[in-house]
Amino acid sequence: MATILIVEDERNLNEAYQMILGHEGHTIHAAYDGTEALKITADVEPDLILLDLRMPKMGGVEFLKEYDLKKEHPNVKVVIFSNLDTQKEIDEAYTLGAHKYMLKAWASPKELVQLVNSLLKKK
Amino acid sequence: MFFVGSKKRFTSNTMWLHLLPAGAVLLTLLGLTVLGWHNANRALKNERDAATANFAAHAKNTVVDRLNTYEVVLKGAAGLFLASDSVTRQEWKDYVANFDLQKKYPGIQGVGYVAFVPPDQIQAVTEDQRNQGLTDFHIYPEGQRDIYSAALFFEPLRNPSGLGYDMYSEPTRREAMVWSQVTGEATLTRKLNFVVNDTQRGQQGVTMYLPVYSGSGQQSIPLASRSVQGFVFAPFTNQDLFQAILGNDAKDKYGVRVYDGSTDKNNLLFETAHFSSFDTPEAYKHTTAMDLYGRKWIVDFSFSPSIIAEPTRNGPLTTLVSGVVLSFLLASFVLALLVARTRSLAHAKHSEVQSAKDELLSLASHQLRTPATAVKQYVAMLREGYAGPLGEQQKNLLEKAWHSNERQLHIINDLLYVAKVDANGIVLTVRRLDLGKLIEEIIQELSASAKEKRNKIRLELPKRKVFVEADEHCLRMAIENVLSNAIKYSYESKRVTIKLINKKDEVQIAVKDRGVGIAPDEIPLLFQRFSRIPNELSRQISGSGIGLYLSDQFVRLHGGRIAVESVKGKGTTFTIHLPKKHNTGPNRV
Repeated sequence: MATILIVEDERNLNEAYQMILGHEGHTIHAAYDGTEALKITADVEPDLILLDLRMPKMGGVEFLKEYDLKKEHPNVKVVIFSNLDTQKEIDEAYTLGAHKYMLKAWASPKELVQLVNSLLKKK
Repeated sequence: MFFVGSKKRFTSNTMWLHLLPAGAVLLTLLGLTVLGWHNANRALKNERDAATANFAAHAKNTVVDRLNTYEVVLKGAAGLFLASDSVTRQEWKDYVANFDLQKKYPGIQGVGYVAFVPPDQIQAVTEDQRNQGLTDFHIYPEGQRDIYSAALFFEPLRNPSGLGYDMYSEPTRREAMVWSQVTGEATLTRKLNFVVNDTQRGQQGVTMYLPVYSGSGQQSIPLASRSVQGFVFAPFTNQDLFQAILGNDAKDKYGVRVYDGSTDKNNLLFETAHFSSFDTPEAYKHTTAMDLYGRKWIVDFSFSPSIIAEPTRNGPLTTLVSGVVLSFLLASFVLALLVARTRSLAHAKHSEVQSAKDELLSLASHQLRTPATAVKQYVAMLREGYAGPLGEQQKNLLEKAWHSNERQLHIINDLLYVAKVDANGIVLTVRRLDLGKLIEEIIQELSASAKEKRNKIRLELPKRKVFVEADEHCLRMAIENVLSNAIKYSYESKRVTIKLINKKDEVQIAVKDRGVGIAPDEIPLLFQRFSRIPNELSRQISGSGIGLYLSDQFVRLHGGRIAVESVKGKGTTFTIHLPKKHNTGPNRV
């Protein structure tokens, strides 16, 4: 089983993802914006981060810049999981090392689990 | 779309706002050019006037100097008579020979003496002259008159028959002789035809007369109080006189006409041989008058424009041409600057507005989708047994909630795309696509809805794979909407055919249904936003009326089009025409 960090400002969604991925037996850490996520990653090295883009205090792109995924955490998988479909921000996230982008609105719990598991297998 | 619109406004309205200042600059510069041209013309005229006046003054001084030397010769000759009661022919000959006229006084024909002869002395004078060797001497012309004169000496003597001629009898000469007698000064005649002999006339010229007073032994008596016994005179042909004076100077620079009294052609004394070559409209004209020995000579100059250096001469034209060219260049530059500035401002404004629109759309897409996404997750979790097993009725109710939420998400999605298209916010990510594979995936996605109506989807692909350069997401949506509509508006248990046709430069995706069909007058409404055409099936089918609008817009973004053929009650064929190579120009509809 893996350690997953969920970074999502919408509480209902954050809790839903915790339940769905926790149900799969993964260890879950939850953050509600980029700054909280940075605090958690200071102590925990997750296997995968489910990252929203548009969040208060610190958004997903800013988090990736601070986190320095490519250099400091090359083994951590990042899924951009957002309802934002602005190409510019998606491209920026990919440039900063994100592995996958999925529009939250289209992902059912089953599809989310499949996506997470397929990425974890590649580790 | 916005920027295209703003460009149109720019060309129709704003252009005038730019033309006005540019026109003002042009007019100001043209005005300055005309002023500069006027000043250059004035400067040229001043220079030209100074140059011609200088030439004319020089010519005038030369003429005056030359005639003064002739006067000096005559005064010397007159002095000979003051020194002696009788001057012999030999003395006269010797005296004149001393002057070396041909060398030192070019133009002068000779120097002579004409004496008054009282009527009672005619015989004695005639005999005296004949005794001095002039055997044919006689005073002529014959005839009775109050006063007689006779030319007694002339050296160098080329024509002895000229001696004895009564000059005083000729009105033109008499006029000058009388004036000379009255003033005591040297006097010139009008134009004369010189006598070759008593019947022939020779060249034209003038003669200068100076009175000779009687009484050689009466030095104490003033000359004015003494009687005039005759005149010393010097004839000169106009040609010799003026050619000698003006010829060399005039050769290349100007032509001259000299008139006596007035510029009537009968009074023309002299004209340089090449005068007509200078008498052109471009020539600089100058006229000067000279009061000389009782006559008024008028000299007309026609100067060659070359007396002024060519760059100076062309100065006004150069100023005008370069000024006009520079004016237009500067005005064009100002216009270009203003246009560039306005375009830059328009572009900045457009970017600012576009950025605000993008931000609003981002916010809207995030905020509209998120609550429905949460509903989706929780409903799905219930359906998938996360909260324990469900009864059939609970499952049915959740199924309805799921589909309703999914439909809401689709509507939100479509509306966001419409907003993006309208805000010109669609940016294509173009790559090479296997079109057959894409269509197969779309059919797979729509197979469930086809199955519900027991429709069959038939796919006809060419043997070889077909590739296009396109944005996968947009093209997928375009084809999916067309195929989805074909299924929706087909009658149950019918076949929907999707055929991929490979042409040289384009591909065609033809989707044919056997459904309700569309009336010809309703076809233009198909691609309008929020347009739903009422028919027997439309009431049963949910839809927002933006699917085909988006398909049309996305295909157009790729440089393609959608054609429609339909027969009411039989079915419809939508054909997407798509260029194989994507145009790299602006992806705007």
